[in-house]
Amino acid sequence: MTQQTRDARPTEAPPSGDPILRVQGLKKHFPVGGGFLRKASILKAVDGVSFDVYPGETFGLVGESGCGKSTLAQTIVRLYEPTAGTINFNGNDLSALSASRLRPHRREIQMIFQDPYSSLDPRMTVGGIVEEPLRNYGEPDRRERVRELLLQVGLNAYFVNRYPHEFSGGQRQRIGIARAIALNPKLVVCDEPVSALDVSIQAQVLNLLRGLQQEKGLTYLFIAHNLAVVAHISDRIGVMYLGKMVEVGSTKAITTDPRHPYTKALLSAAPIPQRHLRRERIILRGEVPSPLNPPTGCRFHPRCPIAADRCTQEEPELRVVGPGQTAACHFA
Amino acid sequence: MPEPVLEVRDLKTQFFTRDGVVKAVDGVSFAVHRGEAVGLVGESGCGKSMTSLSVMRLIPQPPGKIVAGEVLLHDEGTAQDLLKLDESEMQHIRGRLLSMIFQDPMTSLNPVLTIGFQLTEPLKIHFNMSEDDARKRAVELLQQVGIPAAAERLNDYPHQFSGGMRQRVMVAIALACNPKMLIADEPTTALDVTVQAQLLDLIKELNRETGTAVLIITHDLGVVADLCDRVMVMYAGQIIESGTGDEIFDHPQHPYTVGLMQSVPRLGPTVRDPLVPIEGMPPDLIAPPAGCRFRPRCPRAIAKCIEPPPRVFLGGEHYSSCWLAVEGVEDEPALAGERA
Repeated sequence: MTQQTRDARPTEAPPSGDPILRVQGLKKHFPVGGGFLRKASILKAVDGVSFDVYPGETFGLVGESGCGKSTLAQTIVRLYEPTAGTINFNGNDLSALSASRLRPHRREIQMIFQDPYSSLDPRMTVGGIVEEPLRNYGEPDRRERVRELLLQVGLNAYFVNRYPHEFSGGQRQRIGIARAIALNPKLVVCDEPVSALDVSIQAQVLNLLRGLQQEKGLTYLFIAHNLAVVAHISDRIGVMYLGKMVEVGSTKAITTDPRHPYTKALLSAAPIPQRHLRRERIILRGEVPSPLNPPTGCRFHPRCPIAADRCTQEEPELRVVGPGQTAACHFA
Repeated sequence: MPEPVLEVRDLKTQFFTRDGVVKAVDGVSFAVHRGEAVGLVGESGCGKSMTSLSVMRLIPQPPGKIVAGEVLLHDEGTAQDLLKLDESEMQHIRGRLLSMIFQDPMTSLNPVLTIGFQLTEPLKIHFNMSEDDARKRAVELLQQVGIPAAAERLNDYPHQFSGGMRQRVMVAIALACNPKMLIADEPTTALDVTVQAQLLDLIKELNRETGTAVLIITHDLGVVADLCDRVMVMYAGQIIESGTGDEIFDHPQHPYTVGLMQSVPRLGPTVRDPLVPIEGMPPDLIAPPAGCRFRPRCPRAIAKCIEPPPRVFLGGEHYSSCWLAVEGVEDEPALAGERA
């Protein structure tokens, strides 16, 4: 298992150079209900999200269920058609391409899914699963590549003829990772890749992801609900709430100097086994409101400990609050 | 130390399957005292939920069976062994002296009955309360667990509540009869972190105010760190280390406990430090390894570990079942063949 590390301290300076992925004003709305002569209501799962991801970095997206982080990921890889906005990948706007024009770019963006049980076809062998992307793009020497890939993710090469049900959750996630890196992609979108795993196995998979990133110079978009996990693997973090990005900053900024009250609450509520690190506990009122009918003004205002009249009317924009740090709060 | 409420002695629960006998709980002993909050921590399949279901006598039989042990419940100076009771006697205990909260509030509440019905049912059965009295008490309970407009919500059905609110209703039902002991099996796993924090605060508050002893079963060391006075770590059907929160979190002895701590990312300046995972996977409980069950994965295993490790007390109540904790045991590495 790969255990070398890159510089463990997160970089504080904002990244320079051109982003590999630039998402601007992305929206994904779903019609819900409705029917003959009856208007459907609109679920705004992702409602105007912009951020950049730079080559070689890990950009973490964190938020609670229903905040739109998974929809955002699936829209970026065009598993969903975006309602509005652009997805600029290496200079091409993916949101505007037809399926056939999209195909050459698809191999550069791969995805790792949350559930290692439902994301592998139970009737295909492990070899077949890992080989499939190679076959789709007509790669040569596929057998040899599959063996190499299995070894790279810490599995035995003789597993090729076995079926997914013969493997544990952690091993299945490794198979999913082998499939994702088979085509040497530039960007890997990881959607809750470790949340279904036990802690001891979770650590193995996180270390594997980090090792592969160093070896292959991968860029990760890493999505999870667990702030400690996201902070562990990410260089920069975006915090989402009800379809909106509420704060973006370096891992250090987000975990030591969060500016948005929601980020502060998330940080203080994170259950971590560090008793000496007693934090100021912020207990939020209520629960996340329905994205079908989000609150007016700042979407966080009904739960916010510092909300004022202004917050009920005026929606805050993301604005710069520190080096490389932006927050969408009138009081940040 | 106050008197014990629940004492489990050498509990063994097994499942008889086609592939063999799964020793899910294999000699578990512990006690929970009045006013105490105790955490039982471990990974999937370690037997923590089977321990709690055995205490509640809710093991599906067949294929499961409690094959040995005692579960003593103390009430007003007398103790009775729950494993010797028949089902009707057990029903008299469940919900009155001993309550349980489950992980998923959607499947543990009945979807076709109102919250009010489900809350008043235990009061009417165990205390013979009248409908009016029971509803009054139900409103009090809902208020106690922080549900707004409690009186109106009695006639609502579970689907009209959010996930966090449903779990609060579960807590209210569990506490309706002022039980001596509350068992909470992964009570916050299905909830978002900000809602989880609310619920853990609520459980802690009720534990302090009412003196109800609490046993929290969880895979999340973080949940236990904030809530529990005492922590027990379970691995492959056995409790391998136990102590106060500070002892377990600041001075863990057992290599498995240490491994768990090192596997979890920590917030703060060390958040990017590499994790040290525990290699391999938990053993098959049909044929667990001889001696120490953690031996095949243990980075510090020695030749002695082929024998079952003794329970070694490390001062106070802190104990660990590990040969390395025994004074004078030589730290000679095991032979490669023995470890595998």
